[in-house]
Amino acid sequence: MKSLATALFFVATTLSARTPLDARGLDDPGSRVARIEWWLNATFEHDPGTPDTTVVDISGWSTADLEAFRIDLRVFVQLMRDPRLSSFKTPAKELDCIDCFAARRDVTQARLLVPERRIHYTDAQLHRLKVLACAAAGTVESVDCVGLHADREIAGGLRQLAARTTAARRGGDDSYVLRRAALLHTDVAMVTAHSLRPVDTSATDAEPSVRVHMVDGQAAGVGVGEIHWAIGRDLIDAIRPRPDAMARLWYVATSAWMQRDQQYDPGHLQRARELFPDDASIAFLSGTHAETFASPGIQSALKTAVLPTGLTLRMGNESSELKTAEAMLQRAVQIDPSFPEAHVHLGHVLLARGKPQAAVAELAAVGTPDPLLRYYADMFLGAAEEALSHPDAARAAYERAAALFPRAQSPLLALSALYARRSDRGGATKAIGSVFDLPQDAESRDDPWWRYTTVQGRNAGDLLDRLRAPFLHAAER
Amino acid sequence: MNIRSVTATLFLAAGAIGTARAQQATFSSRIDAVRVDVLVTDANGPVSGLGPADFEIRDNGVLQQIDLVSFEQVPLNVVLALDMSDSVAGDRLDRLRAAGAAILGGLQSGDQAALVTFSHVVRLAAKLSADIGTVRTALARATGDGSTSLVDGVFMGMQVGASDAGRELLVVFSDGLDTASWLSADKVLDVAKRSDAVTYAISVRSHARPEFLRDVASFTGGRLFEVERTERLDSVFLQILQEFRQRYLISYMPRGVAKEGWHKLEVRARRGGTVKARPGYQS
Repeated sequence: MKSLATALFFVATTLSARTPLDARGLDDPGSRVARIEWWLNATFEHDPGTPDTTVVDISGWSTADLEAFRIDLRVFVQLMRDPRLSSFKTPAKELDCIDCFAARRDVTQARLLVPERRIHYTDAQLHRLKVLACAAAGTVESVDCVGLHADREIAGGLRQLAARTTAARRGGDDSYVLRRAALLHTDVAMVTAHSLRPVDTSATDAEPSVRVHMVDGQAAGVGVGEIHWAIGRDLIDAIRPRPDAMARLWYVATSAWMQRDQQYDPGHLQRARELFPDDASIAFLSGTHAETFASPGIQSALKTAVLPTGLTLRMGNESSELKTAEAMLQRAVQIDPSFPEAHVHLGHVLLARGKPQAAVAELAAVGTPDPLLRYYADMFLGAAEEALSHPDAARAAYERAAALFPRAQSPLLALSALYARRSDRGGATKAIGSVFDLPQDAESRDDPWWRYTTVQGRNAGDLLDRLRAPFLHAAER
Repeated sequence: MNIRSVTATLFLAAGAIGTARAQQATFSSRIDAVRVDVLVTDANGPVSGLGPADFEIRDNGVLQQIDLVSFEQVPLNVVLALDMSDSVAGDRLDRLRAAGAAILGGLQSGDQAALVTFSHVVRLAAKLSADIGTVRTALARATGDGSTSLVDGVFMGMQVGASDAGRELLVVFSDGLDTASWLSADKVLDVAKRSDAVTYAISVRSHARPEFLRDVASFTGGRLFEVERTERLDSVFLQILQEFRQRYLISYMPRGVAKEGWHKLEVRARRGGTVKARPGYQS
């Protein structure tokens, strides 16, 4: 997905004017209903994970398009469940989510209050929405949809869609379109992760996605990002019954992807925990999220970001984030005691919280042959033993880490500093000499410490493949 | 660390100064000497021409007998530890290279230099050498890329000259926050208390305070320069070199104090003036 995101970002930027529909606001419901119809067809045509024209087109939608679309989508989902509904409004709520973005750029969102709004359609527009909802829900043969003459009013792709959704419903899944749509907006969210538009704090009737971009620990820009992740959450939320296995996999895969690509969104994981409070992977990713928020690269946002008036970062200080991380990671290992990566991160967090003895106990429980996890465990174990004034145990741990990754600088620096602090000049010089001898070019170095804050997302690609596989066109034929 | 075997100290003193007093020959290799780099200033700037009798030094409150004070004559080991992360690119990188070249251009015969660069990767781009041209070439080739391992880079800078008996000036430049170091600031500050290197740091002013650089400069008796812009970075680098050359290197054998632990140092110039020196050392 990495290459897809990179490639499509460029295409989306250059083709941003090619939206399939004119950008119109809430005062043009006819256009909005047409957009829902276009989107429904596109959802069915889109092959998940593929950089097709659907992704390109949607990634070009304006902020106003997206805000109006999200409102119409909520109505549409309600109609899928009950086509008899005729009155709609959006609830008031306080928004709080944080995003981040890639290539050492992190994005943090703020919160605003969105007031309640009533949504108006003409009778004809509402009728068309209901017909589309019948097709999307696989209920064209239901009493309510027959009463709407839904079957007679759909054709072409929509008819194929209705046949597919009806078959899925008979198979026990009445959320087929919601699943496909969530995957579509996931792809668009990944493609548009780098986009940033000017903040308009007066626009309190819309859901903002204020983000802070960071480069090398310094805030490089503040703007409004896309809301496709929020749309994806809306769609996943609408899946019934709960809990749903695909919804769980969606949260795990997308959260892993976000952390791998340094796009942090606490709201994303907060919703995941609400839906899956006893899931070890979600607790783990929540813990690593908070752990990363405690890291210098993100904490520096608190010091360097200059936000528009009225916006504040929804991020705790290092201490509070570490406390959250410890609680989440403790929860993960409580749910699944044989979760080595959770033990590694918990050990690191305990160490950072000044609990080296507990860290040693936690890291000693990491029973895995995975050299990457062993490297981290040994490095943190070394630091914990150092904190406990056990220099020999610390040295042994650092040496094990150095042996696992001979081109890593961190174990050698740790050894040199350990010797230097013991006034062992010979040992310090020998260890630092090994750093001097490492290859000069960064590409030839290999230090897992550099990717510690993203390593938990290293399986995001596999998770996304698993998530998409049942919905690929090839699989459905 | 501050304490070196006297053998090493005397080797340097004999070769570089040639004016060592006869009493120094009585030093035993089993005894450790402490070296303290001291800057004395008055209203007119740095004060020169002071000798051992002009200084008073107390180690953990105990007055010490100063054995040697050298000024200007001691060759320098100048280690440049320069931030080459993402944030240093374009004009800023050009200015940093020019500033580094300026300080190298100010070195004298017998001086040595080395270049450490750090992004997330710490590199010894040029080892400590009297061949300044090699260092200059490495500096010209250095490019910016990646996140910032400032603490790791400072530690490496301290270690470059640690096994050399010369007088080390560590010049650190960074325009950002540490985002990638393995080593903690506390550990490297602990090492700094044991190091003879005097650290001068240059930080580009931002919303974040350069606390680590301020601390490491303070612990080593150096100074932190916070600059708004990098247009005149070369003049700051040259100012550092000039100031460092005006410093005295005081050596004494600690007497009447415990060998281990933190030693609080108090240095006073008997003729008056402001004294800048490290606040203590760890042994």
